[in-house]
Amino acid sequence: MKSPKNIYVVTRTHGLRPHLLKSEDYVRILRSKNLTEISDILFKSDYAPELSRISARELDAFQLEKIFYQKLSERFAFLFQITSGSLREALEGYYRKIEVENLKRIIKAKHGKEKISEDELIPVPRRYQSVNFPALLETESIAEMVELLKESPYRGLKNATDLYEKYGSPLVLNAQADKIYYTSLWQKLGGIVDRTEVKELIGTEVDLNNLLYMFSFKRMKTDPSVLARMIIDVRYKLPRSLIPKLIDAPYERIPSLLTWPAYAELARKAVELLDKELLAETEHIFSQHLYSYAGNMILRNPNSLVFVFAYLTLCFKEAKNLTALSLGKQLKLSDEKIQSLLFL
Amino acid sequence: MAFIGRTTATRGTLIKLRDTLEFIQNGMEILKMKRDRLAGELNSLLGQLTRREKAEKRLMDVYTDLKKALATLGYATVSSTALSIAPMQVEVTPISIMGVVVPKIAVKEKPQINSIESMSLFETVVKLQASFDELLNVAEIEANIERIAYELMMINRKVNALEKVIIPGYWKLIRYIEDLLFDEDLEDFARIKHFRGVAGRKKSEIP
Repeated sequence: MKSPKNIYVVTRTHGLRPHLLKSEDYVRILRSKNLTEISDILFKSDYAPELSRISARELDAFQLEKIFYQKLSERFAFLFQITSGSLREALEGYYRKIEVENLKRIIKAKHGKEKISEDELIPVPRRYQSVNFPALLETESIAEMVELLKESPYRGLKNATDLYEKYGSPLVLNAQADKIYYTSLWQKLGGIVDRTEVKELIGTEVDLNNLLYMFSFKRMKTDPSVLARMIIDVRYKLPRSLIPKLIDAPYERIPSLLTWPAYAELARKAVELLDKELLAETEHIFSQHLYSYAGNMILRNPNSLVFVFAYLTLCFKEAKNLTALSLGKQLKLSDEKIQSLLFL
Repeated sequence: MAFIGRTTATRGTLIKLRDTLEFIQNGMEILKMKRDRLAGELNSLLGQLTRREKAEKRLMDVYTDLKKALATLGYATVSSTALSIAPMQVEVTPISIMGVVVPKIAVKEKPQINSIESMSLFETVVKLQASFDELLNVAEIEANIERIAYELMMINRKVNALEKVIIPGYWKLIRYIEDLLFDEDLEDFARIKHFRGVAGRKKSEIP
């Protein structure tokens, strides 16, 4: 028996889901000639208030991207307002994905000794921030930044600084931030009802991330020791004993090592695409798999809390699709090419 | 020639003028040799100019890949990744080809791209780096061609001026002085002969 609070959240999320753009909306946007037409179509959606604040002259794909991610952030924030207890904690944990993305951007800028402003980060309302972004932006170096984070949930970043100094790559720190994020989220998910279904979704996301890391870093010929540090510790359908074998094997052998049929099939497709040098398409199929999986979860579990998490995953999908559409149109990519980048 | 009127027609001047003419002719020969050498250099460089077309095509391909990466990953992600990559360090050293100073471009430090998470972006950046190397080569070739062509033009002007104006002028002056000196010699000879005749007649008249 679910608590009324949880039923209320799921019901509200059912109400929010129709606000997401549908495939036919993407097709309409795809057919539009320019950003003004895209903006006109989006005026009939949740993006209208933000779009109305920018003039036609200021309208460009970069402004639109900001709006899309701001809306994503707001969608999370709305759910926080109607939840409480362990579910809210879990949702806040999931929301940290945006915070981690911001942290990664700051790490990259500090690594390159470049300035970065708050404007270049995804907006996160101050009350939901677990770190002080303005202070992090002001730091002079990664060491100073890591020092500032020692009182935050990202204190574990300190453990990766030695490897960062050894390899001189911010990827090590980014991976550590991802690990901290997923480990903490996994723990928080343990306290909610419907945890099995929710962990199925998040676990699949982690596994897909790990598999993509395997393919990407093997392709980029990254040192296996760095790859081993990049792997997210959360174990779902990729057993612990399999990870070292996957790290050591060439990417062509990954499908034969995977025991879970869906992953083996996905890995086979990835190998085929990599052999054809279709790298963006390889990355695309991993995200596509996750979003299709989230779509199925929504259909299969309409009364479970996984509906809320799957809805948020689809919000990410919408932000990515709209970004691809607006940037593709601005950069004058062909409609076929833009369509191939969409998650439909 | 402007300097004809100012020249004193003496044997010393004639010798000096002949020496100068020989020096100018030697100089002209050296200039011609330099011109031939530079023309050879220019020909070999012009053969390499076809690389520009290939470099441009490769750059356009990379540009398409980059647009695709931008659309896939989003502008903010790509630009934040770009922040982590230090700019390429290039050293331009002036070198001399037959006295013509041309730039030699060398990549001092390639950008470290080990901060890129996405393999499609990574491959695009690798291709972009290769295109930049090619573009730098093409830029070096074009700069060399420009400077060598300018120098060739200057040498041609100098050789033409020497061949058509200076050397004929010297020849004219030398011939003028030679004619004057010949006339003077003839005059002297006639005078001496006359004096000798007069002296001979005076000697025979003395008893």
